Amino acid sequence: MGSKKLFFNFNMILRDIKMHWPIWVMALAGYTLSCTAVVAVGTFRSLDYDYDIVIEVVEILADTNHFFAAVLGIVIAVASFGYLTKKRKHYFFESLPFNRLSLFATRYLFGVIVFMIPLISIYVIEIIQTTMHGYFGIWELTQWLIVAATECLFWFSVGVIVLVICGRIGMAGFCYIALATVWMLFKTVIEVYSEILYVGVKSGLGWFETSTYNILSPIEFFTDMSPKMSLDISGPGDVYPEGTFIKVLMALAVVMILTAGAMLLYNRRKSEKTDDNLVFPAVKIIFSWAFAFFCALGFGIMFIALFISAESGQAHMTSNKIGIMVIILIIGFVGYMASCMIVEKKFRVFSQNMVKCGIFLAVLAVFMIGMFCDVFNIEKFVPDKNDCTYANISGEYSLTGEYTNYRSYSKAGIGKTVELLQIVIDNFDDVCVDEDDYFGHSTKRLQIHLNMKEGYLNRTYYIPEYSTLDEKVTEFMSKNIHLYTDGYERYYDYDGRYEYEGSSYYYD
Amino acid sequence: MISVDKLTKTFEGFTALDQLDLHVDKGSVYGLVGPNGAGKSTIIRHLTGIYRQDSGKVTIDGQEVYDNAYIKSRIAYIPDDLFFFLNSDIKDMMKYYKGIYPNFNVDRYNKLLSVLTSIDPKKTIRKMSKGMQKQAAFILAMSTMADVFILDEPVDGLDPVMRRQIWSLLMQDVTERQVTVLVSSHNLRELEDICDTVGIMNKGKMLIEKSLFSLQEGISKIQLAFREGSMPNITENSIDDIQALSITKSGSVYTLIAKCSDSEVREKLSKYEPLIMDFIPLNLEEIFIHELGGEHYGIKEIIL
Repeated sequence: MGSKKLFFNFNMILRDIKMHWPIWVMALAGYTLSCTAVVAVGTFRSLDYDYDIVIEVVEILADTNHFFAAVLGIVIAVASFGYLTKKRKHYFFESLPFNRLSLFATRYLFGVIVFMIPLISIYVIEIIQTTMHGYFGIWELTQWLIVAATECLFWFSVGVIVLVICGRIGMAGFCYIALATVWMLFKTVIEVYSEILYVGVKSGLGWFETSTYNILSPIEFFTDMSPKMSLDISGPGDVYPEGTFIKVLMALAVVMILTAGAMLLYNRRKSEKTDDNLVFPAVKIIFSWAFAFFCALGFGIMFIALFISAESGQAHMTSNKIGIMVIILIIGFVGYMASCMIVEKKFRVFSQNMVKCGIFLAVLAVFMIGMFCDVFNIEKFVPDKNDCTYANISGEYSLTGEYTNYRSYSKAGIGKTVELLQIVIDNFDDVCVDEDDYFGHSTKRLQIHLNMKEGYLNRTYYIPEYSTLDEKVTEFMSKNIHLYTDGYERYYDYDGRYEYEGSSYYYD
Repeated sequence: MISVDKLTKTFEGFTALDQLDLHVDKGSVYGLVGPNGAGKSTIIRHLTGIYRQDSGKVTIDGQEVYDNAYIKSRIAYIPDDLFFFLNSDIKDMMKYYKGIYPNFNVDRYNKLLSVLTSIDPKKTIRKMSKGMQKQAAFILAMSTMADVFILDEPVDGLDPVMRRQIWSLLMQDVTERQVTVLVSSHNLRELEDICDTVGIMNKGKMLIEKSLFSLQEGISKIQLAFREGSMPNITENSIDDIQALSITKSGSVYTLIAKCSDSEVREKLSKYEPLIMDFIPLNLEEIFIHELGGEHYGIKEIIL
């Protein structure tokens, strides 16, 4: 008796694979294109090709790997667990001779097999291709397979947990936003705790603006939030010295947490809840808060950027803190009520949710006051120069006319970097929220990186041109940063792509 | 075989099943009847392991049904709302069932397919008519060689000939393999022909659970004919010693439905000296209507 002895039912899996052939055939076609591009990029790099438009196009194609991974993972999650949102199909599966865990495991394994089919097929094709041309080894392509499969698995797991939580497919998008907001908050806490402070943008709110925008923009989000891993087969090993496999392991850890969570929730999921928007009462609370938080900060800040800043012609938004507060609280109220309407599937939600909404708005207000006053010391923290071991200044304050990327291991150099950081902090009102040209004010980027004995600090500031701060930074740099060079080095972009060759500068 | 004890199920504050008891003996046919919204489908979904009970016990052969793959492999379930995979013909579904149900009998499947000739094995089931889909569901369910059949409105959509054929196939299984059948239907005339026991539900509770014979025995339908001019005035108050469910008068004939045995009624009504006193067996539909009449679910005279 197959279903009794085995945890998986292979007949069910095989039948589903046969039935869902369009998914994996399309994935196969997509991956063939993007992976050929990946191999081509590797080839260009290994042959030291100069940058030109052809390589740019091929690199964009190679980047679609991330996009395919995300789309494929989510589509397959819907194919394997979409039945949880359809009453008739759900009841059919539940009446079959499976216990719940084996049904979950069977559906999960089916999903994994479906996305592995195109990946393994491409792997084999590329091995044949590269063996014939002799550019790459099997291990390099195996790395790609592991990375691509992990990325797919990550998105598949996200899709599965969202579907387990939702009773309707239409809710999946909202749930995804809520889940991503929770993730964003979690990530912020972890980063602040680890002193990995990427929040050099004007105010923590600016960081949230960027993050919430990324949630709204799927491609940005895929490339930003996904465990971003690319085929690093010919490349510059020193760009990411921590190695791709750490990221793979981290992604797998997240996958395990998501899958275990999905499995536990699946086991507790009531079949009759299939038509509800959200299946679990506790999730409803988390959803309402996360969705309202997302609306308040995402839409609220966009609203402020559009109206308040435009009206006053300011280069940055934080000068009108009360205005920001009022708008964010109003949009938070609308967001909370909208979330209640989604959860309760009705429009008349105001009277019975006023108290809950009041609690949410109070917490939001405290959070924002905390941000404005920098109670967490995120924005204005300046480390002791004696605690630092390495400093790096990059951005658009060049002293040589070449790309700015100056490093220092000397005490003097580190001390000057800390002083520069202090100058920025002292003139913080001049700093913009991001690199965009705010109503006629073009900005210059200044990035300061300090390695401390424990953790590191990495801040990016956008300074309006011709502002007092701009003048101060330019003056400080020209008077205090003394450069020397020890030769040339290659520069790579964030994805490890070769950009150009230039002098490697140090300072003291 | 099937045992439900004190089963309670609530849906967001609404009690769909309230301390419900239900018992079906092995090899018997149990008819589950009740008005719309009584909870018949809810109890069936508990018996097939789809729903988890809030409290109480649902067992088949002494084992809990929920999350029990072994017990579920012994159940064949035909829901009111059938499901078949997209673009699948009956052969695809057969292969699927064969891989899932341990005792699936392919010979039986072929035999049934040859008996129910109206099914085109190469046609996508979803494109078939409702009746055809029901036939396909029966072929698949009966081929699983299950010990328990749970059927929700099973012959709805089938033509009279096919209904007879399906019931006769099912009855063969009952007699030859001692299969236990629980069937929910609004077609009470049909249930009357096949059921050994009947359970009447209303508002999530089991009102009556009796064998069809004892059910008919407990309620009497009497026709009393009188000579013209000597018609007595029979009202519920005048015969309060027998529990009259309904009294209708047509010309010189009274028709009474009363909740007591024939002998009791005969004794109590003989005082009116009727010309003729006739006992007519009540059918299940009449029992159903009159039982639920006591539960404020009687037929109302509606004038629009």
